[in-house]
Amino acid sequence: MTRTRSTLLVWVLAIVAAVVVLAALTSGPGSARTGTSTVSVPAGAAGEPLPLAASAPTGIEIPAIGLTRDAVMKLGYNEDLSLQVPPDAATVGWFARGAAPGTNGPAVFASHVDYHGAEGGFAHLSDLRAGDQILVHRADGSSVMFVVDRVDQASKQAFPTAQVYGPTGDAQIRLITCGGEFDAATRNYEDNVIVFGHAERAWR
Amino acid sequence: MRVVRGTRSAAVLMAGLVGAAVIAPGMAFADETPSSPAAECAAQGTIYDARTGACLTAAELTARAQAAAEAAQEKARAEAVRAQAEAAAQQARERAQEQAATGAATPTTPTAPSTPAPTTSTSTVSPSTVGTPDDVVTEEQPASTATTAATPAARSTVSAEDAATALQNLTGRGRSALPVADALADLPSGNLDLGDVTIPEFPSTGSFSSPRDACLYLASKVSVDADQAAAIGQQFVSFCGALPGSFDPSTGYGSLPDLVAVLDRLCHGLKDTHHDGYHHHDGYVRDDINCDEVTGDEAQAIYESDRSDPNNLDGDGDGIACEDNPRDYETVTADYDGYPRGGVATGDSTPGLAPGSAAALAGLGLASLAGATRRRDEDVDVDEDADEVRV
Repeated sequence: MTRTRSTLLVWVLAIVAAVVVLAALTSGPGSARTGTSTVSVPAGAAGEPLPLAASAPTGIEIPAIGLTRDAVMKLGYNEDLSLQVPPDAATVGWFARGAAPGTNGPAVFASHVDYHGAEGGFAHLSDLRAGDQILVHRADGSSVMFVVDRVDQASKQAFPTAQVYGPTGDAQIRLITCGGEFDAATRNYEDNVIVFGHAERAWR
Repeated sequence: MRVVRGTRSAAVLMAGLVGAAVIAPGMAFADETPSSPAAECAAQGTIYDARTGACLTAAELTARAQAAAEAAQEKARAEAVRAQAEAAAQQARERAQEQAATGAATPTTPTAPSTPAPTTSTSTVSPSTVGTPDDVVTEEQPASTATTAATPAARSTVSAEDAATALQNLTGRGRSALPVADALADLPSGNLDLGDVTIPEFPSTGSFSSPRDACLYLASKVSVDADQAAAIGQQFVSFCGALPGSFDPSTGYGSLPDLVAVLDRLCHGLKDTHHDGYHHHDGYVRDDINCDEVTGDEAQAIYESDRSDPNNLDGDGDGIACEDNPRDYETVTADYDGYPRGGVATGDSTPGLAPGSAAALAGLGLASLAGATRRRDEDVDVDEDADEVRV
């Protein structure tokens, strides 16, 4: 009887252990992360005081969601004055009529969450957490490291325009993609996921 | 950028155009479908009269058969009409083949389901006969042989007219009204590939709660050539998806008849488009201008120069020509320095029509099918080009 009970205990423990291991293996890099994701500053880089002079972004790295792009397209307005978005899934775009990364004001980046069945550049944007770091490379050879402040999700019907595009007293960053419920009838997501962050340091 | 917007508008127009063209005949077909009251009448050995909603006896039918015989006296004239119509249809087919060579969906599709073979074995009389609304009768109708003679002529004329009349019949705006619900509930399923969109059930109340649902339901009843089921289905999903989600008078869709009325207008526009095509084909000087050939600003200038609007650039008569076409994009945004408006379309989205798309839809008939479809293909190509931007 005792032997049976202990055997049962062993089995229960084994199953629990297996479930835990399985959970650890299957959970994504975002949800399983305990610490924040950082970028490495190249050795010998000369620090630059913020804010920087304006210069367009040429690349963006977000290690926390495995994103690296060595090109960033410029975005303007659609005819209805909404923000343009990249024409394909992977490309990350920068709102060129707004602030440049590293200058005072919000540098706005946008990419799809998915597009025509392909995973978008910002597919895992909602996995970002406060403290995660974002690296933006600029045309003048400098780089700016941003730190995520918060991740918001807002209805497209009540988009926080002023918070996203409005002036700020320091250099900030906004990353935008789609989220929330997908309306199959209109092929539209109902919400936007918006990452807010600020520039921590810059170097050349 | 303007090219992209323009082609996208054209693609949307195309979707609507095809949608209207295919829906309308589908609804026309509904007239021929024995509806519930018709079936009840048949069970009693009588004939359902859509005009009065009553079952008619054989004696009454005799009287109607006499009327039908009178109609048959016009057969000679109808034959002449049919000859004309067949010539026109032949031109349409040739035109469709030319367009098919471009590898896109063609007007073949709208016309094909709308012109069921006149030699159909069922002796059903179509109430969609142009100008001579007739009774909906069942297959047991003994007097039908007398009336069938009059139908083929109407059947083979420009289908948009048939469809428009049928739509009016459906909504009671014509002289013989068939209850919409009865007509729609018994439609056979179509073959469009609508993807993973959920097709709404026909409501037990007999009325849809939203134009979108009604449109999708109708789309599920549309049959087209098998090789076009996917393309047309996709356009249907896009077209229906852009409709408002509820019947609201402020959106231009207060009820199903409103939706049908929009389609009705479209059918007339479609007829006009075909007419233009014949002119073109006959080698007449081509003086008509279609919305897919000009920008919104150019169209407006043309319209302003002749408010009688011989080119029908302002199909809905609101004074704005080709309103789906892009206005000069550069002038819209070059001076704009404000924040981008609204949310960001970073999903798998297509540019949605504004909820009140009735006005936009009214311009559909203006789009040349050939232009719209060809440009839609170009549009796809442009998508591959990272230098161009789409919504």
